[in-house]
Amino acid sequence: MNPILECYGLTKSYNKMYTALNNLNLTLDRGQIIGLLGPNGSGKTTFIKLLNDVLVPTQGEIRINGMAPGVETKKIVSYLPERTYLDETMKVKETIQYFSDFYDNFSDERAYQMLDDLQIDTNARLKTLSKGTKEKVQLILVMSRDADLYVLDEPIGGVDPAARDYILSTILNNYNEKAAILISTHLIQDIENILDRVLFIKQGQLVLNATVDEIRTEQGKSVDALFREVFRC
Amino acid sequence: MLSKLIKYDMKSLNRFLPVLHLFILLSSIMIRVFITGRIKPQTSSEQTDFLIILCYVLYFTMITALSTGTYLIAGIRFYKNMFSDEGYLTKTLPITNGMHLLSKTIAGSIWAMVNMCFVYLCSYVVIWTPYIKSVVDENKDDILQEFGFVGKYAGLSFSTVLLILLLFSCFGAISSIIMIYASVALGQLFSSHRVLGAVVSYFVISTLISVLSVVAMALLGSETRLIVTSGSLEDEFNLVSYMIEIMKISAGLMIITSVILYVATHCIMNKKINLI
Repeated sequence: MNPILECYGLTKSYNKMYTALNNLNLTLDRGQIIGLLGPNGSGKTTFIKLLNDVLVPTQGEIRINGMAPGVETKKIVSYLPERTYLDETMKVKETIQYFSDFYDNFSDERAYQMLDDLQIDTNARLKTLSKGTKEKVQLILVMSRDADLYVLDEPIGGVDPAARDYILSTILNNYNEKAAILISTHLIQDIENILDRVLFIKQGQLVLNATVDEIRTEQGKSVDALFREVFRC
Repeated sequence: MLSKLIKYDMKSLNRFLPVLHLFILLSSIMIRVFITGRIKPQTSSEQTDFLIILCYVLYFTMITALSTGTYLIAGIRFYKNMFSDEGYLTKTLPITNGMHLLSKTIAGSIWAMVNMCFVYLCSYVVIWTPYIKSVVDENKDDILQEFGFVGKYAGLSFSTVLLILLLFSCFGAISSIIMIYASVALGQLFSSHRVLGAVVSYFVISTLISVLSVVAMALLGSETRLIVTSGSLEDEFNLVSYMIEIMKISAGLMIITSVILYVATHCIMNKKINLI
């Protein structure tokens, strides 16, 4: 099977003054949950935006399932940005209809089930919901797709710990051998147990690409402990 | 996919524009019922004349605000949907940028044309009172003569002229939507203050088009004909003929600039957009 993601010499500079991502080379296979970890401003969100074609690379190449980011890759990538990207005047059920209209791999049934589990009123307008509930709605929409690559930027940052458990179990339930899940977060302790692999990004460069088992057996540390060591201020 | 996109784009515009247009239509009906509909020759006095002028000024301000509001809302929705936080969803739909642009241009143009029809309708309601109609009917021949509906233009009926004007205005409305979208897209090329960049781009494009119009009219002799004929050769000046000439030049310019701006917007959306 093709790697789900390949990056070659990927570089992104803003205003020729600041390089957010510098010559990143990476290959990721399917069937794993990958943690994209790094301190603020390390280039995680820039990397995620490049994968999703909302930023144009300064140099380098991205391949998702062997294709450059475009219409075909958007059909198989499910993206959760770190902000509210839905039209807030819409009702929750209208957002489901919207996703259903545009994504062939979207499951209305799964979305309604998850909304029901989290007791979210489908007739409520998004602007009347709390920030945390909006994030839950977005995550539900994203996870209700049968995608090949899920890219989640801070999926649990704004939700309460009880909902976090539900979200993490949702992520696990959607995980299959065909798909890969890339999660960017600061809350390493919360997600460490579900990760198969971690990528450490520092100043726009990849400084570690290892499985969680390798870190535990070879370095005798948890991912959280290693992160604190590598990124100590 | 295009029909689905248009459906959602229309939906987002429909939140504001019908209310705005209905308000203006109701206001026009009120003006007609309470003011312009009551104008009669015997009621003429300094106070009533002043009131009527004031009423027309107010009405035209309202109509201008309506059109400006329509274009502004279309521009804001384009900006928000493509380049603000909502852009993170719009840009990640499995749809080409070309399709997005086409859908938004169609939706914006539909509303711009509806707006234009409303402007005509409201103007009809406010201005075309029984009194005005009777005055026009009584002096129809003189008015037609004065406006230049003579010779080869004598056969043009009022409804034909109105239809030509309406079509031309609708065409202008589409062109304006394309220009506004191009300004918003150009604003995205600025590293910061992108909304301000869009406003500056709009004024730069408008100025360029105005300069081009003047140059085109000068080259084709329309400007000089107006100056010369409005002076010593006034008798030879024919307003209808002049207006048709101006409309031809404007239509030509509109087509050229609209195509250029549409292609430019498409290129920017494909190659230059970085959502921050």
